[in-house]
Amino acid sequence: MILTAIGKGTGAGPLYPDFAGRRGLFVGSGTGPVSYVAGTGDLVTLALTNYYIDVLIGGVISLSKNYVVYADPTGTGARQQWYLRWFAASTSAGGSVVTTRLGTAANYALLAYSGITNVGSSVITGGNIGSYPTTSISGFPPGTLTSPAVIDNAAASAAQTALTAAIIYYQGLTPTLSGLTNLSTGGNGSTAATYTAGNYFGSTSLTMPTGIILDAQNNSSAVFVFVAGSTINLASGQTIALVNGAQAANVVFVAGSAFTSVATSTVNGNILAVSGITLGGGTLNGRALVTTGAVAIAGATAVTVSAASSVGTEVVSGQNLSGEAVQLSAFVGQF
Amino acid sequence: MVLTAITKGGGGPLYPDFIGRRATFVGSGTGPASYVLGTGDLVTLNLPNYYIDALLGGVTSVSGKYVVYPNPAGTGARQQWYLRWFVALATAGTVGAEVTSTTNLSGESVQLGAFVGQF
Repeated sequence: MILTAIGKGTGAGPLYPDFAGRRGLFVGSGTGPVSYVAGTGDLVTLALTNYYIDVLIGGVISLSKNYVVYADPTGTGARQQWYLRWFAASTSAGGSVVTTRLGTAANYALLAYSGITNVGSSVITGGNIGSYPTTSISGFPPGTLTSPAVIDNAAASAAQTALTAAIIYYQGLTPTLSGLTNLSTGGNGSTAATYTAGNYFGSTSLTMPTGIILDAQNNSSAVFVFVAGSTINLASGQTIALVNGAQAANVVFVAGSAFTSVATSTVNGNILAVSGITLGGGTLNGRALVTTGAVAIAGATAVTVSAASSVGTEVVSGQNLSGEAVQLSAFVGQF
Repeated sequence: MVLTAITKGGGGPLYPDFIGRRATFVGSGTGPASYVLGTGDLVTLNLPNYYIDALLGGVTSVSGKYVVYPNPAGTGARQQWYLRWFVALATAGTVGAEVTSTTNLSGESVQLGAFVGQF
């Protein structure tokens, strides 16, 4: 985080640093990191040359009210490095309206109706895997589940019911854009491949021959919903990218039939499909959930569901906090 | 909460105390009669023509039951600052949880520091 001194109205200069004897007071604001590192935090610097931080004063809640931040120095004495550690101050921190909508289906990283197959050393983290009524699950090992994730077929039936309700809900949303076919060129953001928060519909299939960008415009609660009447396809080596605070937990792809990602692609979002999901390898930051078909991992894939935070717990590594702003105080010195 | 500057014995208020163009402030106040979870309690100064640049929190109430954190409504000067209350002692509820709505905190006192400016 880079702290920029606050000013007093448009055109006026910065109010800080404000010197008291040899040291100065400082009040500034900044935003969180794109990828947080739990246990270390985010290095804080000043948008000033030749100044350093003597003391950073934490114990402040972010503007969104979701986080409280604490200052963490690397040592005692002057000219230390100061890190900002982020902790959940609300159950909304790291959570998502999408998670709430999915109900018990949100407990699953992989959920199927007619079985799950895996090829290669896939790693499933942050959610269970299960299938019902066909309970066959193959390929684990070589695939692995990161504790506490387990194979849970017993609760899969109820999760299917919740998933079906969620799909019906998303299919009933009012479109921001409709009639889409090629998502790589149909965006409404700063480029043809960029989407701002909204609901994007295709009456039949949606394709992504090249990557797309989801722009939260510094609102970490921004939700992106893509609904296809039939298939959704992400081409080989392509990425569904998140920028400006967008969270994978707030992204939903709903396929009326099957969803397919090819080879080493990167998917950020929750995949809800009716007839099947095929992951060709790479990364899925989210869930793969099917109501009436199978989940097939055709090439080693890392599937990670980010955990919602418990109040008082530190933000998990990798979480995007770039949409979170804080205003902080410090005592500073000059080199 | 209205923060009133602390005093030294029978003397006048010790704050605001100017440092350069800004001033430090230390004051105390009591919690709201009916807390609002998720929003907190708006903090004002018992001084005309002063505003808060930064409110310094992360302190417990005098009773030790609660810890309070400042929560600004925005970044920049002249923001509104709210005080969010969380449970610090098991006798007051679930430790770490925010105080529930309508809780009467008017018997709880806190002493807070701030950097302030003049209109």
